[in-house]
Amino acid sequence: MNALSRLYPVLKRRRTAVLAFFACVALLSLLRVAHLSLNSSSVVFLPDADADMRLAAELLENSPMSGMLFVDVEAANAEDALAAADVIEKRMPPETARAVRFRVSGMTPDKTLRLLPSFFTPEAEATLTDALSENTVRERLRDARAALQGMGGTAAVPWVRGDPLRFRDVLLSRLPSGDASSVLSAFSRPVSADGRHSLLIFRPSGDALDASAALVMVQSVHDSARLLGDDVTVRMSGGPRYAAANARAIEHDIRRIALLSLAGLALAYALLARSWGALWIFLTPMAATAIAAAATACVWPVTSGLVLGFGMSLMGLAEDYAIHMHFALRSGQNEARVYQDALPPLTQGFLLNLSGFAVLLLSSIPAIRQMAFFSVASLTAGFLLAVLLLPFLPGFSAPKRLCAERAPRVVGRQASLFLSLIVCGGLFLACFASLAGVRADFSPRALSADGPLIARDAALMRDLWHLDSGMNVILTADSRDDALIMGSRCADALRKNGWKVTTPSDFLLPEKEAKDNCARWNRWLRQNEPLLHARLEKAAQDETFRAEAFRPFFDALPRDAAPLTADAPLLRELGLREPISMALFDQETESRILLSCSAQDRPERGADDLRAAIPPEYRAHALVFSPRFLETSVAERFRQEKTLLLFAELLALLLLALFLRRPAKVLAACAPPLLSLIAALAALRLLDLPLNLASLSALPIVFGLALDHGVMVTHALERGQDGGTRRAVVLSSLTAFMSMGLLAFSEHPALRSMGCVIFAGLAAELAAALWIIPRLYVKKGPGA
Amino acid sequence: MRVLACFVLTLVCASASAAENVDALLEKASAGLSRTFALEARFHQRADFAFMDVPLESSGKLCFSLTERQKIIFWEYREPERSGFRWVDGDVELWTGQDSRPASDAEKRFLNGMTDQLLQWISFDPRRLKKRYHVSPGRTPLSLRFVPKEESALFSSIELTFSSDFSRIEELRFTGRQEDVTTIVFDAQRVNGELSEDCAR
Repeated sequence: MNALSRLYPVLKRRRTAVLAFFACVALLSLLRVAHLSLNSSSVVFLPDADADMRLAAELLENSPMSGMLFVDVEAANAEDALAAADVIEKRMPPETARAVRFRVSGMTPDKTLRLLPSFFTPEAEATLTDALSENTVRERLRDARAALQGMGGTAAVPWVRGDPLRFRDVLLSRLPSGDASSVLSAFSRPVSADGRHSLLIFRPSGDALDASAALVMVQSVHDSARLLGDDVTVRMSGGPRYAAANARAIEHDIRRIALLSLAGLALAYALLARSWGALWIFLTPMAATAIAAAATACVWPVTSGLVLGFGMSLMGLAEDYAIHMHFALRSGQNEARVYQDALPPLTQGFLLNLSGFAVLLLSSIPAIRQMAFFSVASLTAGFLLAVLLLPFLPGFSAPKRLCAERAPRVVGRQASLFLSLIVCGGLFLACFASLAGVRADFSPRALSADGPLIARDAALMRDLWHLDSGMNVILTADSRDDALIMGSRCADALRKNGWKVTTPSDFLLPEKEAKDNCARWNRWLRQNEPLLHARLEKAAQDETFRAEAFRPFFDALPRDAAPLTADAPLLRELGLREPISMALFDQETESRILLSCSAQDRPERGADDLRAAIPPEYRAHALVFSPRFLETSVAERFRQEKTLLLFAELLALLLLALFLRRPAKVLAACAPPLLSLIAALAALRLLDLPLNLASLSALPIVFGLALDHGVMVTHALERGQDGGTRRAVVLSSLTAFMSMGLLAFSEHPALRSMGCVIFAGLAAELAAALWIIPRLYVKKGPGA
Repeated sequence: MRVLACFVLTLVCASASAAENVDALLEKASAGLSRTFALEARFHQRADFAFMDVPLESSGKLCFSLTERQKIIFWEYREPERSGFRWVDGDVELWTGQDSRPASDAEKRFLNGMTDQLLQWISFDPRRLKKRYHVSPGRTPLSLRFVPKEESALFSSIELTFSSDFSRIEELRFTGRQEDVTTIVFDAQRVNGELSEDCAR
């Protein structure tokens, strides 16, 4: 330890160099942080090894679907539901979002005929050539007559006159049977099978992940719902619903808690530190966080925003070393003695924490590795600043008498093995019992504000609208045309295998194919138009139609038709461009195609069956997944990572044993972390909160702080000199409590569960450090 | 000038009186029809199309029973060919000739839309109707003509003719977008009785 006492004069001699070094590091860090690239992607939460899952997450995040707001409108009947949906749509600010319609609308016979040439495949040609036979033409007109005579009545007139031979069947046969019959819907927008719900889908006009836009969207729907009264029930689901709920809750929490938190921190410093030098303590965690953020950004140029958020919450831990140094230096001892006495436990505490986070660097999940790296960097920076720099900053060490006067002298004590064994044994058992009683929910949705309410609405809407009743296949190609070809062939193969498939390749063909089809149509029409006229005229006479009855048909027949392109206005008129752009994506190239598949009457068929039904030549390009797989996968991965967390904590305890050596001392130092863990888990159980990602990430903070305090207090008791330790422990706990423990009163569930863990954990570790540990110590002597 | 003023006054009075008549008729019909919760009737349909040489005629049966316990609508064409549907609380069965089948989800949505319209006509809420249609007097003192305020692809107007006690609709007249006219006349109406076996397929 003499070496440590010699450290102080060395540092003092070179303090200018040390200050210059840290100033440079801080400056460079700030420069790097100013250019920090953050992302909010969930891909970092998926293991590296699972390339498919990572790709699927990336694709899903880039898919326009992820920004959609789904609004279900329930009323007494379809008409009221549709009218209410109209009101909601009209009141939505157009600069924020616009309604999209995933259905064919405004389909008229002439538009059908305009579409036809691009889809005039050899099979379609064969079908229409057959339809020109005398018998078929007569049969079609007889059907048309029956439609006019029956329920169709006046509604059937445009179709009978505009497409008497049902050329539209060539187009409709491309669609799955269910979709084909819904093309001519009775309603302007989707209506549920029970006739009481209508569905509205909004697409954000700007950035799909913009929380303020999500707030405006959701608020607009809420306002409209209030206007519509109690007869109409409005439910929402989709990304913006979650984003808006979280943004609102966090904003509310910040307003409520931030002021209280700042006032509490100021009061804690004013009462316990009572020196302007304590301002350096305040700045230390900020500097440590900046250095850690810069270091993380050097390793991962694009850092996860969530990792940075977690890093901020580590400020309490980074500050701990500065507080201990501050009070130790003000305890009245000379500086060299302080370095000799206080540095060993401080270093041990630092290494214990470091070891725990270092273990997490082995995680298979990049986000956890980033968090671990950030924590290691932040703790190291905090520790080095506290030991190497702060003691030489003006005001940090004076006045020296303050603590010395008030610190009680505890002389000649050592931990009682018997008492420590009893107390810590009990705490160990209680800890295991608490772990068993806490329910875990690592689903990202469990962290959302209004989570249960949104989940309930989403479940209801899923059932009603079959929003995720099936599975998805994403095919990646080199170009849009290739994607369409792949999509079309895969859809054919899947349909033959009994899957119901919705794909944009039903509405849009590769350019070359459309061109060939148009040429085929133009040739066919030139050859067959006279025959068409003759046959229709004769059959019309037989079925009592007048000669001019089918003029609209002949007028609308497209002559010299051009192929339908992806940007054709007709696609927009019919509402087809929207479904196409939703399922044909990847920025501007549209080279990825989404196939929505459902197993129809065989729900037991899974992803493996679906993959097996994809033609072998496309399997390497295909990604098969169910819509909620990301949520379940992330939850499952984190459940697996729980073992690593436990290992990290066990390693920390093992190192503690190695550092402190004597079993009684080790057990005594274990009391704060164990009690904090028990209290945190008990609080979760009492408040019926699950152990989620937020509370799980708060545990290492509490555990680390408690370990530090356990080590510092046991050392102080052993050497018989408080040296400002108790005051440092109180201030350290109080500042962490004020900055994060008050989050227990948050409205946001993630912040609340994190706050609960910190609130209960800190209260317990403080009690253990200041009250339980001293009681495990007895006077040194033969009988001890 | 006096003549012009008299002419304007006459016009104003006439339109005001027509509006009063329409409102009175709507109220009477609403009061009369609101007592009807079940009906069984034969119907005869005649469709006149400008593009056909002869009118198209058909006949069939309409039944409905709208109680708290169950809502049933039965609509069947029997001549010249048998076809129809039966809607029971949202479940739909369709048939053509002897072939019967449950409706698919998409057909169900379509038919629910139709029955929804039908139920609204049956409930005959004047406030709701005036919101959606321009209402004017029809061809007879017991008729009202409804023109959709928003253009409909299906028809340009519907005219209803009521029974003298306003308890029943006796005639429905659809005018299509191409000036074709479909008239459905109901007879042998039995109001608020148990539905007979003839209303089951």
